Amino acid sequence: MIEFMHAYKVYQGAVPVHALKNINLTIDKGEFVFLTGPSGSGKTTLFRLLSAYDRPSSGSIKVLNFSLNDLNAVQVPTFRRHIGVIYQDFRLLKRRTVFENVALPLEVRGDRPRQIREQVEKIIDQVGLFHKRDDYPDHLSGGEQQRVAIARALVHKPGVLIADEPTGNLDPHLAKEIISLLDKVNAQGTTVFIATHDHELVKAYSRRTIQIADGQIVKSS
Amino acid sequence: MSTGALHNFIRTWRQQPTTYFATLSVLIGSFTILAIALLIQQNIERALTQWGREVKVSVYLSESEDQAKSAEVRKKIDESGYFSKVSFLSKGEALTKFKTRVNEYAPGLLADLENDNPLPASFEMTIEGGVKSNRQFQKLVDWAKNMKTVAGVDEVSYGQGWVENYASVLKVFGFTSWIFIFVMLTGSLFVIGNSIRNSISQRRDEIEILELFGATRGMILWPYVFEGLVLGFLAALLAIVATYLLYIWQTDLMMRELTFWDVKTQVEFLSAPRMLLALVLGTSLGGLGSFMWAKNVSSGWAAAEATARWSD
Ligand SMILES: Nc1ncnc2c1ncn2[C@@H]1O[C@H](COP(=O)(O)OP(=O)(O)O)[C@@H](O)[C@H]1O
Ligand SMILES: [Mg+2]
Repeated sequence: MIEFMHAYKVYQGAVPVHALKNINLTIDKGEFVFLTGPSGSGKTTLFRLLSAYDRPSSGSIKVLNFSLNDLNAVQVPTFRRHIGVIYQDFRLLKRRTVFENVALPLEVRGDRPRQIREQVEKIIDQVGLFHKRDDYPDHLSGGEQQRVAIARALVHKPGVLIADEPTGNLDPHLAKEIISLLDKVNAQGTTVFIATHDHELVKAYSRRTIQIADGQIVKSS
Repeated sequence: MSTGALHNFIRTWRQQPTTYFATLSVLIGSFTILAIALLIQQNIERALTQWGREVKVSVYLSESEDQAKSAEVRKKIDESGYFSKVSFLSKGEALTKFKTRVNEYAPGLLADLENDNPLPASFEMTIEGGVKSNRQFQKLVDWAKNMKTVAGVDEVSYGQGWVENYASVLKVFGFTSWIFIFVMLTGSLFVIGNSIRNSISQRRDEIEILELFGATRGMILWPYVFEGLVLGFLAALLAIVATYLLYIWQTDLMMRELTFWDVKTQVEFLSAPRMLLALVLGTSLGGLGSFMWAKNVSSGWAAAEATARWSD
């Protein structure tokens, strides 16, 4: 399902940053896995490689049936449609409403407008934002924006869900609610991979946990 | 995603009305000049066509009236199979015709021409089917040149002076206007491109997000190309309207000032095919301009590239 083999990532610049060093990792279909580590340890970078946001400097990465090293120009968008990603900085479209933001993965796939409406409204309701479906992201709180990002990552029922600090901006009560939502999605067969530095949350769920520090995996249960 | 593109277009239009009006105005200006060039070209062509339909050719015979030679000339004319309504005008007939014409203006002026007739005999004819193309015109010129060398022929006339002047005007007009049109079109392309580049730079973040959620290059490109198409179409449409208003204004003015000249029947407005040509040209120019500037907007890795640039 997810496989890293000797993956490295170096950010080029005046001083090159070795963000990931020799990452080896396998996650099977249907697993629910936490990725933990202090700020700056490389969690976001690992997720960027995993979601084909960026390419590794060396090593190979496989997700679903895609080999991310040799995706061509047509396969890149195809792959991205098969996964669900919640970015740490949300990445919402400022000029589009909540509804339109959530509809994006269905729209790029070419779904019919009626189908889109049905599915989008259902998921917006699940994250508790139905009454704000026509608002623009700038008018929402950080927590609400995060929930829009979550709804967008789930609306197309992806095979893998990758979430970078999905509860970072939420109060503990809401955080639990969101994690239960992801838990439910996982129960329906979606592989879920969550990066977080919230130890309470990790403890509360006692799932498989991968620890990363300074760009290297230090513990994998 | 055409409805999406339309949505997008209206949104951008609302968000930057001044930029859009500026772009649109410049485009309307340059398209109007092109439409006027098209209008002038159409009317010159029309005038030439009208001349071509009724072109009269005269073959003047040499002074010594020689039955055998004129029969020879007549045979040559008939052999060409090129003329209809060939008629012979003898020296006497030519004089009578000339006199009746002159007498209308100055009666009695030509009384003493009776004994010394200076007018030559001639054949008069019209061209079968008229002169419709440059090639046919060239054929006429060549035939006339050839005919002049035939024994017994003094001169061949088909209104050369008039036509040749017209043709040289057309040539100069054609050449300079091509340069001019080229400059105008290139300029318009840049104006459109600049406007599209503006929209793109305002939506960099949007393009990254669309890529990250699986939009293809075509999907990302289309709204910009659509924007250019609409811009080009609107500019062409409004330029035609502007040209029409100018046409009405100018012809009305001339009608009032030059009452003897019926301008409106002589100068036509752009024909339907030409208007369609202008619309198609404007629209495709808009699409092409935006495509040229937008084609590199999505590589599939815009987000990663932006982060790399940012960290440098
Ligand atoms: N675009 C970038 N350019 C250069 N360095 C970067 C970039 N993104 C992240 N880094 C560096 O890579 C390391 C890992 O960062 P990141 O993956 O964001 O960690 P985390 O998500 O665990 O906080 C950090 O040292 C960070 O400064
Ligand atoms: Mg991070």
